[in-house]
Parts: sequence; structure tokens; C-alpha cells
Amino acid sequence: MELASIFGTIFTLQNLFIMNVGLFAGILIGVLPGLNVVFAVAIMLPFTFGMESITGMYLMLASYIGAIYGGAIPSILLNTPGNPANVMTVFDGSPMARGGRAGDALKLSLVGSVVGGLISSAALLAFAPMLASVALAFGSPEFFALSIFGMCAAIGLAGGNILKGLVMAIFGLLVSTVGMDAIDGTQRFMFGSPHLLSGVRTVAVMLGMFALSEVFVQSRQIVNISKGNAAPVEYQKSTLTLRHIFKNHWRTLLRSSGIGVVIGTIPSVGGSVPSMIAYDRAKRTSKNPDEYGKGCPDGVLASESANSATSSTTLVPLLTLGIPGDAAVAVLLGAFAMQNIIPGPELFTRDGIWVFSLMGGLFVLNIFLFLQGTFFIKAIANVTRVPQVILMPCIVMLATVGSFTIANTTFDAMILLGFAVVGYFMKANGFPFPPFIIAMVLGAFLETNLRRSLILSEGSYAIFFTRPISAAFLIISAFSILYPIISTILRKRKEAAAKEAKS
Amino acid sequence: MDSKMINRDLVTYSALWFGSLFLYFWVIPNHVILRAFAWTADIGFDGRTFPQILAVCLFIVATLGLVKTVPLVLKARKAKRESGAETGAAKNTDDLYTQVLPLLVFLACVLFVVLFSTVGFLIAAAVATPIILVLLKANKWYYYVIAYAFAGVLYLVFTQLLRVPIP
Repeated sequence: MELASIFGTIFTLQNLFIMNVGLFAGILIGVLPGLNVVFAVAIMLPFTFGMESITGMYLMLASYIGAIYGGAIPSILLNTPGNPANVMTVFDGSPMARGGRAGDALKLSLVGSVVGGLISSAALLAFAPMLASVALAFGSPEFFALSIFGMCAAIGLAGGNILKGLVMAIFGLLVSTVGMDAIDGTQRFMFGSPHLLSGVRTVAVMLGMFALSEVFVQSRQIVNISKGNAAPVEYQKSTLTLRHIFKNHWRTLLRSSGIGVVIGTIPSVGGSVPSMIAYDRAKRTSKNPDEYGKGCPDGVLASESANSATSSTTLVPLLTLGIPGDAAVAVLLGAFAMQNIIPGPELFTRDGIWVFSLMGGLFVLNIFLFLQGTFFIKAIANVTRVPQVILMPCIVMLATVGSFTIANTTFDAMILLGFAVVGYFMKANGFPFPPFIIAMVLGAFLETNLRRSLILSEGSYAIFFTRPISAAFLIISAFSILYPIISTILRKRKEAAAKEAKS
Repeated sequence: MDSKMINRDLVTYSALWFGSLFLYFWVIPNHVILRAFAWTADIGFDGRTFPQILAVCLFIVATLGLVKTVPLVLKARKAKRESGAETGAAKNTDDLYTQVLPLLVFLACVLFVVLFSTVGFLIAAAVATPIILVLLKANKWYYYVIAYAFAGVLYLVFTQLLRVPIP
């Protein structure tokens, strides 16, 4: 009976249509260099306002999956990765294309993405309910520790500067405190504006930081690029058959997807790390490792199947614990909040059909991705020729209208402008976005659980260390922040010692 | 890290250092209004405590940032003095335009938002869109047509399809 309801929810004409629209839009955005997965998901948010919650989620997830795949196309045709997760695809995809095998490289990237996505969806369906049943036993101290872990992982894995990551996380938490606090109704940082009573709206912030700020960043590049741009490689029809790909490359497909699935569940890792590991593994286990970097089909398959295999498993911590796995999933969490859906273990018992329809929809999305990739690849490949200048006014209009439609007030358009400026300066100064966005969406949840825990313990902070799960998460959090610092210090010492020994 | 970025970091961490003090001693006391009955005050954690913790964290991080950046700035300046580097080549008009372009695009966005709030989306799009395209040196007529067509489609999608009223 429930299975029938789930199928009934997924296979409505409207949902199937929206899935295809989202996928197509996601692929197009992914194809355009400079516009990434987070942008694709953020820009889709305004379109979900008038939709049913599950339809809106399908649109968001479709653009997410589409943009991950779309990023492979400029990697192959332009020698420029569409997303950071597609960097490894450039190494073999671009030489293949320049050697007259662009169609083969595009087909391999499509098959890799679809297989990775399907395996990832199966893993989500298998593991999420199990983790949710374990998480039902979690209390406020555990959820507080988990929120800290989610943020620390984002800071530690943001790369480069831990201090900048910390600044962004603190900034995100500060933004989350604006408005009336959930525990005793204190009005905070409202500056006399009733518009801020319910806080700064996450959607306006995300559209400002991810979409509008991109217009300012890209404006300089557009003017410079117009002086001379590299021409994309022409599309050539693929000569590879599916049978040939599965028969000769099934090991790479399965192994790389497995790597993506496992690593994808770790918050904030994203698609780049599994893609690099899978590529490295494929090269190490290959009979012809010298072919890698010169147009090896296994290189494209390894990279694409691994990064796509993270697409569904990044949803595991979101759906079961309410902790976003990366910045794009943090935008999804914003969409959940907009639709009054509270992710977490209770979601599986309270809205079982909804959550299983969401997970089941991911299979359908990957099948549609295969169909769109097969039938429209030539047209999609031509998108790499679209001048970015046309997109800029479109992004401005879409972001402004999107921020307005959240609450039908132009105040949110002002918030959008303000955060676009903040986003521009953060990008210009190398401040990472994921810690900010994850801290902002988790802020209220973190503070509420912190205060509830203190009420339970009558003000004693020992409650976080006497409960094993909470203590374990706090220790891992400290480790994820300290490890990059310690390893950098050790590496520098080693380098200095080696330099001394040489001289 | 290049010297420009190091200088920027110095400015950013200094601003954050002063900002955290301003936040702790002025913004939080004046803009976090505690209720007469705040029942979590019994546990020593009222509505102000969390922002105060964040302000302290920001102060610590900014201080660490300054401790890390100041020696790098001094080192970069010393290296510059020793190498006798030039104090900056003259910029041509194109470079200057590229430098101020983000600001100009931002002002065009402000104009769009102001017009959107006062006279509505269609007029805002009609006025601000060509300004943005001109600023970005779009030299093909059909770019303008595409942007206007997008504005029209966006308006129809929101008002007719999604039933979201737009001014």
C-alpha cells in the first residue's frame, strides 16, 4: 500500500516534467564555466515557492544532479572544469576530445555519472533508514555535538586557511541569531525593523552570496575574456557502445562509485576528494598507467562516477540528522525550511512516504539524466559557446525576483544586495563559503540544542562530555580542525629540515 | 601568498578585531533586548550569551589572524624595500575600467532593486538590463533582445504559472 503511494507520488506527470526541467536547467548551468552546483541549486529556489514540497525538492535535486554532470562537458570540450569536482575529468577528457574522440569522452562521462548516481541512490535508500533509526535515540547534547561536527568538518575541509573558515563559520552563526530567539523570545539585532522578526531569510542570503555576487566577480572576467577566448572543441559522434563500456570498464565504474558513496557520506567532503582518490586508484590498478593523462577512458569514468556517487549519499546526514553534507545540500536544507519540512530521524516516521518518494525519485532522475545526456548531448555541447555576458542581467533579475517572492517584500531584495557585496568581498579575499552557509543554516538548531542541553543539566557543560556519542562527535570535531593545522606545521618543519640538510 | 593578498588579510583581520569589540561592547548590549522574564537566565545562558560567545570567538580568531599576518606583511615590505621594486606602474583607462566594473555593476543592481520596489519589475528590467549589458560591453543587438525576452518569460512564469504576484 505504502509502495503504491510512493510510486504514485513519484510518477505523476507534473513531477516527471519538473524533474526533466530541473535536470536540463542544471546541466545548462553546469556547462557554463564559472557557474557551479551551488549556484544551480540556489537559483532554482525561487521557482519552488508555488510548488508542492516534493515537486519543489525534485526540481532542486534535479538541478543538483544535472549540474554535477554538466560540469564534465566544459572539462572535455573547453579544457576547463565546470565544477571543482570535475577537475580530474579534464586530464583525460580533454586529450580525448582534442584527439577527435569528444563524443566518446562525453558518453563515458554520462555513463560514469549515471552509474555513480544510481549506486549512490541505492546506498542512500539502504543506509538512511538505518541511520535514522539509530539517531532516534539522540537527544539535545548529541544534536548540538553533531552540529558542531558539521561545521568543523566544513571548516577543516574548506581547504587553505582554517582561520578564514572559522571567521566564516562565526559570521554564519551571527547571522543566524538575528530575529526572535526560539527559547525565550529575546529580540536580537533587529535594529527596529519588523522585517527581521523571523530572522534574515536564508534564501535571500544564499541568492545574494552565491548568485548575485557571481555577477560582480564575473563582470571583470567577461570584459577581459571578450578580448580573446579559446574556442571549444567541435562535437564528434560517439563510437562507443554501452555494451563495450560495461564489458571493458565495469571494474572502474564499480570501484569508483564505491569510493564516491563511502566518502560522500562524510559531511563537507564534496565531490573533488572522491574523484581524486578514484582516479588515483584507477591509475594504480591499471595495466597501462602511462595512458592516464593522455586520453584514457578509465580516467574519465573514474572521475565522473566517483563525483556523481556523492550526489545522493551527501543527503544521508541531511535527511537522517538534519546536518547538511556540503554547501549545495545546505541550500537544500534552506528549501526544506521554506516548505516547513524538518529533516532528522523523525522525518522517517512522521513523513515516511514523503522521504521515500524523495529517495526513490533519485533513481528516476538518474534515468532521465541518461536519456537527456543521450538525446540532447549535441545541443548541450553547443551551450559552451553561449557568451556569459547574456547571463548576467538574467541572473540579476532572477535573484531579485526570487528574493522578493519569499515573503512578498522588497526588504529581502535589500538583504540580497547586502549579502551579494559581502559575498564578493569574501570571494575576493579567499574566504570559503561552505562554513558560512552551513553555520547559518545550522545556527538556530545548534543554539537551541545547546540551551536545551544546559536546561537539562541545570547549567553544567559536563553534559556534552559525559554522554559518549556527544563526546565522540566533539572529539572528532576538534580533530577535524586541528589536524590540518598540525599536518601543515609538521610538513613545514619537514621541508625546512630537508632544506637544511641540502645546504 | 602575494603581498596584495597579505595586505588585504591585514585589513580584514584588523576590521574583524575592532568589529568584534564593537559587537561585544555596543551592538549586543543595545540591540539584544532581554525580556523581563527570561527563564533560561537561571542557567546563566540568556538571549545575549550566544552572541557574546560568538563575539569572543571572533575576537580570538581575528587576533590569531593578526598574529599570523603581521610578520608576513613586515617580511613582504622588507623584501620589497630590498629588491627596490617600483611603486606601481601607471594604469591605462581599460585597466581602471576593469577595476571599477564590479562597483558599476553593483550600482546598476541597486538601480534595478530601487525601480523594482517603486515602479515594478517590467520597467526596472527595461531600464536596468541595457545598463548592465552596456557596462559589460555587450556589442551585439540580439543580446539585448534575449535579455528582454528572458525578463518577459520570467514575469510570465512567476505570475501566471507559479501564481506568485510580482510588482
